[in-house]
Amino acid sequence: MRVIIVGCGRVGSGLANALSAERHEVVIIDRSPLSFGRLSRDFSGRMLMGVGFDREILQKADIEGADALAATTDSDNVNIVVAVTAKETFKVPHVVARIYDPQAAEIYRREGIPTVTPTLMAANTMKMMISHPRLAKLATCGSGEVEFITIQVPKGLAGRTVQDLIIPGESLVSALVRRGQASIPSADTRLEAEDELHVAVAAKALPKFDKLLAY
Amino acid sequence: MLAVIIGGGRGGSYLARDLQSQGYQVKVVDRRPEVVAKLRQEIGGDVVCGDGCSPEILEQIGTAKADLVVALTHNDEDNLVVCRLAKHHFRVPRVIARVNNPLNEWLYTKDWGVDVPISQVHLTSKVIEEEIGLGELVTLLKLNRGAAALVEVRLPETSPCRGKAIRDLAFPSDAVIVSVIRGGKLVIPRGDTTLEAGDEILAVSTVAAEKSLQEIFAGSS
Repeated sequence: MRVIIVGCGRVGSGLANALSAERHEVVIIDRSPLSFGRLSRDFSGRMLMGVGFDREILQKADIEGADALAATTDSDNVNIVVAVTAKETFKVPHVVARIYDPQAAEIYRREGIPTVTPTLMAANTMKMMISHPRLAKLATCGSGEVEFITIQVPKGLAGRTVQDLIIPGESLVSALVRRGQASIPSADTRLEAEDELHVAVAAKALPKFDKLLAY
Repeated sequence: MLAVIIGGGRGGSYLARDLQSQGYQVKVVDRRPEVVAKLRQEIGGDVVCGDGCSPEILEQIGTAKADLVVALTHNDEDNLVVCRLAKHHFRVPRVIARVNNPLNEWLYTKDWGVDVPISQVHLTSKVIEEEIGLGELVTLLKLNRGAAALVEVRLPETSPCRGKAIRDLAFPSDAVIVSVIRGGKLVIPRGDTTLEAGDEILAVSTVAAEKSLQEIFAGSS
């Protein structure tokens, strides 16, 4: 893949190092040449100094041939301008922007710009860890309305069925891992202690779901 | 009529007072507390201290009901974000923005929600170009939004049309001579009027025809 990364901060440089290690073709852009010091010694991509929405810089980065672009500067507005320009003007197939402001992130998500909102993710994760320590979060869907979690079946639930963990419209068990083998369970699949379940749960139903595990 | 101005620097303050005198209710947003305090003294009430690029702030001040949004911050990315939110999210009918860096002017388009981009550098260089661009031909008045102009030229001693009658000039069809001032007196031009060196000629011309006018009156440069 040919990937352009705008912003060589901790996130941008981390992403660049990881993609470069997987032999992707990376171009990284930053206003400050000093920030390129965060790249690893093995980084094999190109470094460009400049502003991420400067047409000349984007052309130097071969944006027309890019498969993906990630906007990771510390400014929401720069990331928005870069991401929208990449997607709408240069038709880059995969664009993602880091946006700190959750409300702005939602607006751009609706406009078709995938966003990563570290503030929201951190807040949701911490809230889960504090209020539902039994439920380990795998992913947050949308703006946090649905959480995708994993649980270990407690001894008290052994012998019961998957049906007992399904709340219509609020939770759905999507995968079961037993002794390292994953399968898609049906409602009458019997649970064994130590089974690992992957469950989609509506955020507002988390307390209710948590109680089901308390048997 | 409600106008929202993002960016309360000198330009914002001046514009706010101007719009107020035209009967607008004006709200100004700036994130710098010292600018906000100064502005409150200058224009009174509606000055909000906050981030004008934040959808939350824009919503709070009633941007959805605004007739006009003007983005006047010193950052192009901020102005572009304001314009896009104003147009696409709050459906504001008229959105105007300042271009700070001429290199970024290409982004100020309808796609970004910008109805009218204002580029200080671009405007200045355009005016200078008009003033010095075509030698003796001076623009007096822009007509039809700049598509045409009233221009003036003083015929030099070397003018190729000295001693010629107006009807004999190879005059372009999209320009016309409207008056000749000779020795401080107005001469209404007719086809048989003969031009002399020192004549001040007023003509209405499209921008495209200005170059041939320049050649006819002053010779090719």
